[in-house]
Amino acid sequence: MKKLTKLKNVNFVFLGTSLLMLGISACSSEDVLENVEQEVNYASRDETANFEMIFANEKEIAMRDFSIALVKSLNQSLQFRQIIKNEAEEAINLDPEVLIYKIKNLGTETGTVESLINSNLSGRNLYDIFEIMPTLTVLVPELPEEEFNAENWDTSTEIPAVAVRLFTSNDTPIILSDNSQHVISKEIIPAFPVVVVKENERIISNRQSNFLEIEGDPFFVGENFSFKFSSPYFSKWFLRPFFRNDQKLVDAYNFSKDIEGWQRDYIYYGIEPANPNGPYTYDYSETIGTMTTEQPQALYSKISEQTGDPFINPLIHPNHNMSHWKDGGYEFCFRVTSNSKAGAGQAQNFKFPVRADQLFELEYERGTGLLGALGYFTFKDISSKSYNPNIPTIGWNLETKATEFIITIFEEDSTEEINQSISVDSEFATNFGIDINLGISEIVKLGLKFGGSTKNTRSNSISVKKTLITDDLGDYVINFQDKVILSETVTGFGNLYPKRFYGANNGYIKFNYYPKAVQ
Amino acid sequence: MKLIKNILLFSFIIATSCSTDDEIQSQKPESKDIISLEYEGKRFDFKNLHHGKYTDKDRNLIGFFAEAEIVIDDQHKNRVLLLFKTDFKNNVEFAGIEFTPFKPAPTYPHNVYAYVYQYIMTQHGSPFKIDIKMENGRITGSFEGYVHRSADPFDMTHMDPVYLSAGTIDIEAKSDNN
Repeated sequence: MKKLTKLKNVNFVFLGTSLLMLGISACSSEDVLENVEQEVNYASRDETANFEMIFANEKEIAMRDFSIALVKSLNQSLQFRQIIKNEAEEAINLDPEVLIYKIKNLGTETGTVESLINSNLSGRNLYDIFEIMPTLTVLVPELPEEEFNAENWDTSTEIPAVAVRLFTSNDTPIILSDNSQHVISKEIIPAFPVVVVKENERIISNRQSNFLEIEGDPFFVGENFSFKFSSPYFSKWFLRPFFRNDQKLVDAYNFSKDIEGWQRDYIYYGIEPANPNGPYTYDYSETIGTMTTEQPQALYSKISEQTGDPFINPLIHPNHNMSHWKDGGYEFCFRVTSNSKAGAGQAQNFKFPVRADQLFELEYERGTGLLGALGYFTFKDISSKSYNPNIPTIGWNLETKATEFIITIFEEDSTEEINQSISVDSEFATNFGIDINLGISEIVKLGLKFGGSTKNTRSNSISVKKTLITDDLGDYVINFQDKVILSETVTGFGNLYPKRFYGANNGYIKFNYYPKAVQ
Repeated sequence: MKLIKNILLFSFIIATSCSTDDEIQSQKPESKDIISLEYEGKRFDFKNLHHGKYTDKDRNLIGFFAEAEIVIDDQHKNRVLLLFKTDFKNNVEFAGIEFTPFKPAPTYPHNVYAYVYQYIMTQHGSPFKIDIKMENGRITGSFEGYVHRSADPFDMTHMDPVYLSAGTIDIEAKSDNN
């Protein structure tokens, strides 16, 4: 095995100081980004561990043996490389992954994929490895700057290295196409062709006890194993619904724009200037829409400070392998607090998980000199992406609820303390009654806005179990009279109607909150 | 020689300060704490409970909470949180429940989210029964009934509650995990 860097003539004082500094920096949690940059400086071109020693359990050793055979097999067979490329382009659950069991019987120049790999395995065969890890998978990663991916892989000339995604270490064992074995630091992304051996976390086999409980039929049935997606929604055959502009929201914009009316008057009550009274409709609910941030660095630093939160780990990653993040995800809570005429106000909580790669995009910097003369990428900067949780929350009936909602957003970490309570002053509209001209006996809203009535303001104590020591991302006031659609832009593809964002100046989160049809 | 000892001492401090939670937990005896319940026909045994403080508005300690979650897959899970007022001796009073089932969104199932069911409304004909006692620092008991997203009578007309059955509690009364 190559050892590219060696410590020479290092005295003990320097060694002790270095150990202390490394220990302090490794344990610091305040500024992960800074640490990443420091560690890259220390370790970018070094191997970080002994290849043989890094495989810690039966599954990892199985992946090691398979990977050694895989490199040799990729070297030997153009047809095998083409099979991996084709299957990766076909994709499993939208990721460029190849389930090895599924391709084992496909033909190569010298026999099947299984026989080719078996010829390069020493002391065991592929079936033994399937017995340990039926969902053994090869990922063809998308490297930054389109350095390498399934689509641009030239199988006639490019023989990729093989990296292994471990369960027990963030560092990455890698076998180059010359069969040399190395371990590279977790901060490094190869800038050369590489595939990744991993266990597929979104597929289960019939050897797992919950196989029959999982909804749906197997997507592949072999001689010894059958495979299902662990959730039917991971299947690429699951079609995403098509979204379009809601005409009622557009009509509300058009009816209200000239008179500065309330768009929600039309959406919830059908009220517009020519039809000033109307009953409440249950067809709409205020919905948490697209969320993003204008300050990704600040948001990342704010919410990634706890153990268990994702942090940047640029090498071909774990859970969602198109990204480069340490395991774990964020869990956001939107607490919607609304005062009620019926008495005590209400706080309702809406929680959803978000992966780091759904909120943040990473930018990279190219370097050279990895494992001799190979290229690599390191983390350079972070930018924001948008995620739409699309969660219906509460319908807004002004007869029973106040004219404003307060939304408190936090990212949940391990809770230390729960505490009571907050008090909210609210305005209530009073223009409700029976309109005999409508021919219905139910109570309707009488008139635009507050009608001819006076507003009723009162304070209700709202009992909220406040979770302390969470990443508080701010309170946001939503008013019934806030515009839902802000403007209209005519394009060749149809008219665009951008919706209001709340929190644009907050620094952490901005998000849509608007009425959306729920039935 | 003294220098080498110092280096070894530094190394030991660093190694111990970087111990993972798993390593720390492995040294503790396994907890007997458990909250069990049935939801949508399935039984869930919540173990490895996380305990925390329950405080009043002046942040005086008035009780504790215990929460745990069962991960079904990498996005689907159920979480339960029970809140108690107690003197940590003999007296205990149930102070609330949160049940949070994460599910795929009905209209866009790639997204997963959860409504938090936290209100109990026996007075509105939607009973939630809980019977608990405290002995030797442990709270034991049973519960069953509906929990709601909202206690507003208007919301209750169109927001379905969830029913939790065969609930049992057997937990230590403490406000932290030590």
